[in-house]
Amino acid sequence: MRLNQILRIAINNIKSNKMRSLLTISGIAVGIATIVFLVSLGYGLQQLSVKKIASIAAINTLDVSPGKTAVQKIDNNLIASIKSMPDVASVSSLLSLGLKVDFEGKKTDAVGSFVNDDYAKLEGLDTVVGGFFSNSTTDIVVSTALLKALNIDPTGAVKKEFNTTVIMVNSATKEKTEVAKKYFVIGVIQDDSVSFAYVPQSSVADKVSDATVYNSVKVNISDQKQIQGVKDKITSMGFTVTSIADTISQVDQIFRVVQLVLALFGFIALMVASIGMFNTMTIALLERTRDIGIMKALGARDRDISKIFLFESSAISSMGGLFGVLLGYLTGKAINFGVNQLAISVGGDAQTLFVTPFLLAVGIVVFSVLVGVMTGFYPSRRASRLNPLDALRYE
Amino acid sequence: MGSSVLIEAKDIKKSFTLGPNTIEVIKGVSFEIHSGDYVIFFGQSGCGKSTLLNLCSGLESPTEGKFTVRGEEISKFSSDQKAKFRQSKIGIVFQQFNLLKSMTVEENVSFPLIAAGETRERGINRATNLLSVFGLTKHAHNIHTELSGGQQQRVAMARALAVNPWILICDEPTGNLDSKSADEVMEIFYHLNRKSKRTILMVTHNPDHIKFASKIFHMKDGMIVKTQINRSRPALKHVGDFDLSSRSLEQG
Repeated sequence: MRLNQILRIAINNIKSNKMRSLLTISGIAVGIATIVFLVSLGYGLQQLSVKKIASIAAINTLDVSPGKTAVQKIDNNLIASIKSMPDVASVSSLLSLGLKVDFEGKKTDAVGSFVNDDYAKLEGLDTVVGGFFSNSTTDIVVSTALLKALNIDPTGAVKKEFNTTVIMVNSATKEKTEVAKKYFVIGVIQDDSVSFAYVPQSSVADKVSDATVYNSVKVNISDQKQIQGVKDKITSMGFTVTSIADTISQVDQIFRVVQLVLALFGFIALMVASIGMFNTMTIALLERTRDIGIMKALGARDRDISKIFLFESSAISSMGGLFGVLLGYLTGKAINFGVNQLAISVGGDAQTLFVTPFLLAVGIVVFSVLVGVMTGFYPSRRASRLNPLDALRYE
Repeated sequence: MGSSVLIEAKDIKKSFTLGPNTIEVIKGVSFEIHSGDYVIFFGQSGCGKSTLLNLCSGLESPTEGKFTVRGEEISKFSSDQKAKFRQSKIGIVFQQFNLLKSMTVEENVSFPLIAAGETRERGINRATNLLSVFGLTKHAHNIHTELSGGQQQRVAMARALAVNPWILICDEPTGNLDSKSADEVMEIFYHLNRKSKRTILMVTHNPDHIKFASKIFHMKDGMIVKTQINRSRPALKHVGDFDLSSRSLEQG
């Protein structure tokens, strides 16, 4: 029999029992949709967490802080030697100093992080109002906690003038000197717990010397593959080196388990649907026993009969797969929309909770066809082996 | 008769196992059927005539003995070879019509050609021609439940002729028909035998049909008890509007 004629008969069989075909397709679709929905949720949450943890630049960044056993301090010498390592794109240091802030007579203390312009990018900092400073010696970025202490509304904070006193400590003599500086707010970072400010290191450049000890440095690596190599080198010098990539890989690992568990739930739903489909195909076999006998008596070969059944079950399951992927995707979108509406109404941010990778969608459709072939296999074998006379006597 | 031997049965035995019992349905039967014969296996129900017919179509294999069609032993065929044999050499008409449920009349008639690997177009062309020969053109797109018994049996006959077979095998083809439809169907078979020289093997228990056959095997308890040669067959009668000449049957 020609393949297109076998296909035609299979489609005809599906059409001739519309209600049952529709129900079976729906069963498979619900199973597949559950998998797509749950796995998409897993992917979405994973991407959301990773995004929250780090910007893309931050992934290529190492944090170097003094180790417990370090003899060497983080000073200009060390920075120069790290800069000279291959694959190191840039080094950005952080000098943490005490800051007394005076705004229109209101006073408060804050932690001043004196950093270079590229620090914000390497740390993955985000401002809720305004932006980060660049090429400036007078702009600062402050936390909402600091603004609260000074009774300033964050939305109107930009361009506010702060009179500050920077407390410099001589690392050799531990002697404190106070330096008065005037700064203007350029950006605000959301943090209600700690009063801090990011201040351009260049504003105190005249007070920084080779003897200055930094609190930490960020090392940006040009090639992600070389992160481990550079990390090992700096660690061997006695420093503590951490990278966001480590955290991300831990998060990824956790989410891999989460996804697996979610997929397992979906798989159980699909198993139930598959058993339903197997049942449908077996009943279809009984119902069509007589027709199979007639077809065989009229010269249809065993494998033609077998193919009709296989095509039928794979057509049902692939339709179920397609509808399922669509249903799972749209349900995710709908729930995401609902959650975001709710989040926005209570003052939160809109987030993408469901991510359906294209390959996952394609893979699941292919998988559903496979399910069809598997559930159709036994009935098709039985059909092809029916004795035509027995089948003809079947009522 | 000068024609060649088409089917030859030699000491055929067929038994079925039902639980612990073995029932011998055919108890050693031998016969020859020549090309162009109209053979009727006649006897009471349970005498083994249908089993014998199923042996001829290769739907059943003998327990003992040799069964040859044109010199080929069909019981030794593989499942595929049997399918091919049924596709090309024989047409079967059943008592219960046995039209395929999910197909239209036209698709039913074209099915043997589709089974043999022909295109749908070729199958439908052939079906259209056969349906017009059997006066069923206007029912081409109906499904079988929309037809009367007589019409359904004519569809089944058209289907049996789809591949232009040498042999027509008919198991009680009038068993489910009223007498008028039955007479019509019997006349059509008679035409097919006389005008287009098809070999017909038929099982019946209706003595009125015996007159059409050229050779009658009277059966009883799994044996052929008498072979009757009929030399006084009736004249051909005109049936319906059907043109059953071999030329019109082979078109399409």
